[in-house]
Amino acid sequence: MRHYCKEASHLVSDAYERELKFTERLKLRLHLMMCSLCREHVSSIEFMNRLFENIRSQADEKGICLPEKARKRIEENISKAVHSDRP
Amino acid sequence: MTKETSNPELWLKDHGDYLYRYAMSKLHDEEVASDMVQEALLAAWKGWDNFAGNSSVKTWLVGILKHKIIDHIRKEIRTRKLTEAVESDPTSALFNANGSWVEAPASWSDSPESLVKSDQFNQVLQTCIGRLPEKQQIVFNLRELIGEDTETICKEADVTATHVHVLIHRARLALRACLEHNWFGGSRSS
Repeated sequence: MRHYCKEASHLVSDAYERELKFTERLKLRLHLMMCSLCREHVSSIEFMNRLFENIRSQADEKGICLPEKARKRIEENISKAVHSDRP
Repeated sequence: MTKETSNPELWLKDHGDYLYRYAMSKLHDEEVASDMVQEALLAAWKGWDNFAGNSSVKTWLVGILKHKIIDHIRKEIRTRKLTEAVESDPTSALFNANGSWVEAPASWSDSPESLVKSDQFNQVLQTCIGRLPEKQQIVFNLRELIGEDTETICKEADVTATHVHVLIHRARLALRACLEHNWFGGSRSS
C-alpha cells in the first residue's frame, strides 16, 4: 500500500508558511485521521514552533555577556574611529 | 528624559552585553556577533543625527544591529549561492520507498517552555542546528531565530517562496530527527 506520510510532512511544514489549498487541507486532514505516526509528527512540529517562539522572546533575558576580549577590541576600534574622524 | 549624546564608548559600556546577547541569539557565532555589535555602534555613531529621540537609545541601537545582522546574512546567502537548484532530497532517508516513516516519530513529553531554560538542551539544539546543511541553516535561522516571514526571506535571498518552503521543511524534518535522537531518546514504537 502506498503511504502519504512523506507528502503529509511537507504540507505540515508548509501550513506554517502559506495558506494550504483546499484539496491539500483535505488530503492532510484525511491522512492525519488515519495515521497516528503523522499525528505524532505534527505534535513535535508544533512543539518545535512553540520552542522557537520561546527562544525568540527569551533571547533578551539570557545571561551571556560580551566577552572581555571582544569588548576591548571594540573599544579600541571605536576610539580609533572617533578620534580620526569626528563627524 | 535626560538629553542623550552621541557617545559610542558609553553605549558599549551600557548596552554592549545586551547587544551581544541579541546578536548571539541570531547568529550563534561569538566572533561574528561581536563584529556585528562593533559595526552597529560605529554606524550609530556616524548616524547619530538620525536618532529621533522618540525611542530609547537602546531600542535605536538594537534596530541598527538588526539591520547589520540581516545584511550579514544576506551576504552569506549571496556567497553561498542559495539560488542554486535544490539538491537531491535529503529527507528521503527518513521515509520508505512506499512513502511511510522509516522510524516511527516518538512523542515528546517535555514542555517547550521549560526546555528553553535548560542549558543542556540548548547545547543539543545548537548542535542540531549546526548540523543542518548550510542553505537550510541560513533560511531556518532567518525564519525561526530572527522571526522573519517567508516573504521577507525570499526578498533577502532572492529565491522563490517554494524554494524557501522546501528548505524550511527539510530543516524541520532534520531538526526533529536530530532532537529525537539526541534529547528525547528516540524510542521505536513499532
